[in-house]
Amino acid sequence: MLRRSVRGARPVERESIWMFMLLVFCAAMGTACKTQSTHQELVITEARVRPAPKGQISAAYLKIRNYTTATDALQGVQCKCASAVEIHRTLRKKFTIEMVRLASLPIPAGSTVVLASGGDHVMLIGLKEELKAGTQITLGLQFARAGLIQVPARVMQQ
Amino acid sequence: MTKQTDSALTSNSNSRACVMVACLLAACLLVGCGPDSRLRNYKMGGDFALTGIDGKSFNSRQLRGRTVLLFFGFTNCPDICPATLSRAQKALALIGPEAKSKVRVVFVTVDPARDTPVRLKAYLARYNMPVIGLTGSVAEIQKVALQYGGTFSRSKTRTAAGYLMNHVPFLYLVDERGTLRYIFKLSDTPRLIATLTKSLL
Repeated sequence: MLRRSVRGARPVERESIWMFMLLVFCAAMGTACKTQSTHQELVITEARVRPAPKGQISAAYLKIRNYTTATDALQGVQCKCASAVEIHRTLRKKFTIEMVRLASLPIPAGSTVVLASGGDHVMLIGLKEELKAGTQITLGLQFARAGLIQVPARVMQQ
Repeated sequence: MTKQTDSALTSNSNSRACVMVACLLAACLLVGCGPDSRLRNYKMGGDFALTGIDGKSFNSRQLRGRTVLLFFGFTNCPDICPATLSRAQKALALIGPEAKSKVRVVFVTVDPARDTPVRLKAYLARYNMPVIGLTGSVAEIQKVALQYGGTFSRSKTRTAAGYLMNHVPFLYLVDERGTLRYIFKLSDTPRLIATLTKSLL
């Protein structure tokens, strides 16, 4: 009887251990993902840059979440690391891919805009120094409403 | 009791099935499963002559006996070209040491005006894989691209980079006889590239 009751308790115990681990994991993730920068409820996460040698070109990727009720727009990006920074869109045509420079990228209210490889991205032109994997640079994102938001971006192989 | 025996029997036959599947998989890995059924024999593609980054003329016949991953790109390309080379590198790493001797990645510039051999060499040196950089005249390169069903042109978008190139974004898998066997899209994963490439080794 005693044995049975212990056995009976086991799955419940296991379940509670898993629940606890899940809770710890969620809490850890919550802290880790708790935005690299918050500024007037525009949240930038996952900012990262491709490694590249001095004098060449690189690309930066990130996510922009607009928690406000008004549409904002990314109007430009600044970086001390490059002689020019532009926002580009990769268009997939039937036989080719084409790059189009964007003057401004709308960030609709309540939406998340993802800048990722093969889509919209930030182009860093004429690198003043080598972008080494494992290091970090600072990007200045200029928004129409939120103003300038500085975010750290990790240099990493994508 | 009987129930227990039943469940024991089922679990026993289950584990037997698992062992058999594992054995089959192991045998498959040891013997090699042969070319993947997704591979095709394309009529397009074929041999071409261009110039290597050492300035010497290069004929694709020199690649006989090697499996080739061919790509058309340019060094001022910040997104798609590094992404594709990076996927090729990951695929080669998945294949293992065999890839170093049997696979060659070939990068043909579509911007020979700016991609000098020195620049091309520095650009490709960032990748830890056997990669061959090729250049030529615009006409020569256009001919090769057309052979593979691709094309390229200067983009009209205004940029501080001077100009960018519109280009064919595919990664071509060519076997050791020089036949085009598969065309990888941008969305294809390093694992798929590795699986299909390895099946040709």
